[in-house]
Amino acid sequence: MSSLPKRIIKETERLVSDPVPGITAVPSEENLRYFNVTIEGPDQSPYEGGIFKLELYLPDDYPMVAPKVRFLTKIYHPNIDKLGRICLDVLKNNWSPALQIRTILLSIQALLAAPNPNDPLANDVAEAWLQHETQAIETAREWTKKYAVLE
Amino acid sequence: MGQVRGRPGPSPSTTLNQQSSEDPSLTSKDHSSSSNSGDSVRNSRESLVQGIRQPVSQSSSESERSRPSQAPQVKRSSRSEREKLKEAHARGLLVKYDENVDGGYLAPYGTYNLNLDYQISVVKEAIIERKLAPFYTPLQDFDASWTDEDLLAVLSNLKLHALPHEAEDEDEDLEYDEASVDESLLSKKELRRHLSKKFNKQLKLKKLEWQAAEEKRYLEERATSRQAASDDLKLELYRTSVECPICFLYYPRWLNYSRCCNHAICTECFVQIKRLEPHLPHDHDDEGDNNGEDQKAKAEQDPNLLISEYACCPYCATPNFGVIYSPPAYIRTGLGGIPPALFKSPLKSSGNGNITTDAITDEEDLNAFEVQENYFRKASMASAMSIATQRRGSLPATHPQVITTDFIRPDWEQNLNNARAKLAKRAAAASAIHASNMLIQSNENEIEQKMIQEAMRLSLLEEESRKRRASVK
Ligand SMILES: [Zn+2]
Ligand SMILES: [Zn+2]
Repeated sequence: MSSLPKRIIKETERLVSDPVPGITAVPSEENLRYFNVTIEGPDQSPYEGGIFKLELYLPDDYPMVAPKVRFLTKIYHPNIDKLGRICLDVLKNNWSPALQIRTILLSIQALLAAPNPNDPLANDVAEAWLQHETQAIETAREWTKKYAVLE
Repeated sequence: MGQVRGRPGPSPSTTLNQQSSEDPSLTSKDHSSSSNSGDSVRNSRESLVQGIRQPVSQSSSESERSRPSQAPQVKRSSRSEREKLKEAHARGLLVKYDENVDGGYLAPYGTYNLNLDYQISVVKEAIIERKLAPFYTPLQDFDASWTDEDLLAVLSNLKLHALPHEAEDEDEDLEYDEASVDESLLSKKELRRHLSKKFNKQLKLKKLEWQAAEEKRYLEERATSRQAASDDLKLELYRTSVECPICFLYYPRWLNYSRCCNHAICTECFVQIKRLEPHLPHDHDDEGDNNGEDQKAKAEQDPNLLISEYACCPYCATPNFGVIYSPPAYIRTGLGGIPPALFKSPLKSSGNGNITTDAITDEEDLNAFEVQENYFRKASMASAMSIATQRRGSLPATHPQVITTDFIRPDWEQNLNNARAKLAKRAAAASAIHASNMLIQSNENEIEQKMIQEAMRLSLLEEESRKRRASVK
């Protein structure tokens, strides 16, 4: 598809010219609405040291609807389920067309720094988080080492 | 929850009639472009004010809304009625160069292909009344260092509408091969689907044709028409273009501003913003686990649970999004103003007494010209520029200058009632089946029971999908 809305072109350019620390987002060559994303685990979080891969897709009616984002790297987090789906209000009903790819990825990075087990998507993880927090954080650390650290 | 505002309807605008009578050529042109459906194009002139007096179902009260089981029946209109409405809507979305207000138009450029279900008549009237910015043709790029010549060159290459989109090649609707279908072999259900696909394709093709005809007319007539913008007007508008924070396109700096936080938004983005579909109040997202199923079951028991929430400001999330618009004080052209071809920049014309008047052919225009001169005297450039930024604080959604998202989509409440009624019917059907199952179970003929269950299931499925299709207007 050759006619890409100006907004998507400009967002893509700005992501390259003014990148967000700890985040990369590169459009795929075949489909410029599909981005390969990486997010570095925030310092002092159980995800520290990990590099998490995500996919991000801009639907036809973006920016009137949110981008579709999913973790590809396995992650132990109360708001991210086995399929990598993310429970984040701004990706759902609190999406606003004034938000951008950049702001969404920053929100996801912030979610890694501050898991919210009271509003879970992965119920088992959330339960573990609420009942045995130290142990849950340890598991998250192990998963990070196992799945998100490049050899 | 939604408070229905007692906003008085927009007053009928006399300029509308004036405009359409200036434009008698359209009817015959449209005829030649789509000869296969004569009656559909007969009323092309209506397109300007398409449905402008359409009654708005805003009358239902709070109490009605709290008893949705008694909500008005989903109005079932015939296929041909629905098709006529769709076609009229599509006509209302055409950009015509001679339907202009202050150098912009009454229909969107076409940056967005979807969500164009706003009430066209309401938006057009708001634009003519200068309560909403006109749909200006956007610039894809803008550089403040461009010379006037550069800028004029860019502007003269602009089309009225983005059509045809390059993506049209892959358009599913257009790919439908209706010729290969033998209608006589189809079941009732298949026929309905086929006819709807066929209609969608034909309507899309018509839209392309209609807009192409408008582009052609614009190119042919713009050099001589008084309804085409003068260079002065173009420069005045685009010399100081600003970027809309949502579509990232450049527009004349007179944009709409959010009532709550005074942020700019172009009209094309504004008409995109609307309530979400009626949904269940979720403190949580339906995707995970069996939460969604629970919610669905709950809703079938009580369709009241379905809600529709205000659209929020994209910038500050204040509910009941609305915008205000301050038109340029010294530009008033097109509908309700002077012909845009006669516009002269106030800076150029002031101090030089002999404005060329050869283009002015009748008294009406002379008067209009004087009106414009008055504008120049009263409004200095500086004061005009400060209007948009004068405002401090926020305005309530009920303020007469505010245009809200609900105002341009007054059917949100009907949609909610329809969704609730549909759910109530489905629940009723489900419990009827449940009751008959109980009867059958007391009977010991198991084979019969299974057959009846299956028949009911099938008829229910049929009924549901019929309703679903009927509701997709
Ligand atoms: Zn915009
Ligand atoms: Zn706001």
